[in-house]
Amino acid sequence: MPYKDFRAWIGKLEEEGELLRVKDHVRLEPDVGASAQASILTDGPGLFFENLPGYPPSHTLTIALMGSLRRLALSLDLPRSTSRGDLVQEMARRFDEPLIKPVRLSSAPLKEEKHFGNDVNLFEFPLHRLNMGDGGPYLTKTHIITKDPETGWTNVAMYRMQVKDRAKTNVWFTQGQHGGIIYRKWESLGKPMPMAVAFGVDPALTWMAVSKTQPGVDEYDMAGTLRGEPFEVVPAETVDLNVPASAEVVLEGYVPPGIREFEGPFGEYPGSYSHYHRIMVFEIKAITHRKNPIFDAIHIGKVPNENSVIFSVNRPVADTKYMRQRFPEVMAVVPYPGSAMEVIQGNFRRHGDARRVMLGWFMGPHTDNVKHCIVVDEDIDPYDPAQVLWALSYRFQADRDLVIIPNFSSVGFDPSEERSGLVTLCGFDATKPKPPHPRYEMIGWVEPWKETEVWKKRIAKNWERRN
Amino acid sequence: MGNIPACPRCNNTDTRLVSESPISGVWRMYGCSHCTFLWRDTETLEGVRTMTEEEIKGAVLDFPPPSPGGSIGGK
Repeated sequence: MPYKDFRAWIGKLEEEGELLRVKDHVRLEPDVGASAQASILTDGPGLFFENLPGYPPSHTLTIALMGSLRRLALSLDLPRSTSRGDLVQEMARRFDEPLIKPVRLSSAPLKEEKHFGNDVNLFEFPLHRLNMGDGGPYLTKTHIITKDPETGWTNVAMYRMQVKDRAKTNVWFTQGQHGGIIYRKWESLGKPMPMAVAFGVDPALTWMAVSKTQPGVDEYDMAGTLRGEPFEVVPAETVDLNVPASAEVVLEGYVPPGIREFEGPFGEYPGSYSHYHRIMVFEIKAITHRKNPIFDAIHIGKVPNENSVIFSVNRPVADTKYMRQRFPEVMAVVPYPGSAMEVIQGNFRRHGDARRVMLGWFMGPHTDNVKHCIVVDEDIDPYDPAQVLWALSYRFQADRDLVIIPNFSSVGFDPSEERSGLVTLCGFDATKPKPPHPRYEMIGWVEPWKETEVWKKRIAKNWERRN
Repeated sequence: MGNIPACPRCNNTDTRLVSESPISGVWRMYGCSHCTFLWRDTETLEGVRTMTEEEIKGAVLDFPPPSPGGSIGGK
């Protein structure tokens, strides 16, 4: 059964022992960021803060709810013991199902409290500096809803937002991401872009906000497909947008054209502070929220972070699908959590096929965030770093098998970039020689005796008896 | 209300009170109108790096407005 709302999701986490309610008094800085980092580092629980300084007990905060594979499994209504590989396969399967249109309701608990104009104050919610070097409090677990002015396509995405005032933030769009593409259209028309931002939602929508999808596909439809039932929305109060009925809090407002303001730094997903930038601003006209709202945040900062845990599942789903559509010989595309590296596993028949696949990968949408790929054969488990490193050692020669493409556009967060927004892509062809490669006939690969499997069982049985 | 301190990041004195805690008297959030830094008066600010004018002026503009007439505000 999909989750009715954020509170149902919280209830499930509690039932499964995956939520820690922190009733002690904590400081907004540094305790929120420090505890979230500790939870991720120890593969610990999601955190629910009930006693925050300066806030009544009715105003609470959650963080790191999607910071473990166990909770990611629960977010998809799967057993908490589901492996990463099985999570990836199940999510890919659901995304191949037909789209399910959202249902528009006339009212929802989200509308229990409404603030307009001068009554808008973001500090009604427990905002905090997440990493010590951040330029201020940030809204992190954002579900940013925008609509294409030409086609009506609704996009939901997660971008960082630096809080600047009671009713004003920055919002991070890059030119290649869907939010940026839509904003560019509004800006070209000379019109402010209507925007809403939801916090505390059914996790199906969070998956959509962090996943790469085809442009033009409504993410409310995709969220319905992922949860197996229509996603429920309600009309916003001041902008022509539908917002998640299940949300705890929604901000409404506009991103004006032609305005860029100072932003940053922020401890981003590579584990480094991003540069100082001048980016778009969001002017908030209304806030609606449930009574006793639970404000939700995500941990981004030193790797591993909550972001890297989520990406370890949704990246392979999107990237494998993208690559398989173009190259049927591709078996899996697997990112290494917290890194900018992906492993492509394939069943290659001819020498040079791996190189062709590599070039296809370079052209994919994922290269916004990843820059290295290692291509391996079908006999290498891409989830096992030891096997991948073995292939990189004995099926790869740097002068022959390394492909480098400099000056490739990026999202601009990589701290090793010489110039912001430009990276060097690098591919390692760690596949076996195949015909017509001249060494193909010379090289033999040691395969285990077929009796090895029998012996595995015999040894395990005897060992167990002895112990 | 008391004095509003200079910005701990750029040392500019063009600072303001942004918000007070919903339960009165627990904290105040201040903002710098020059470098846009926000801080709470209960923070130690141990990890905050000071900024120079060159850094403020050199902020990256990687999504420029479409027309040369577009305003690029510094605040």
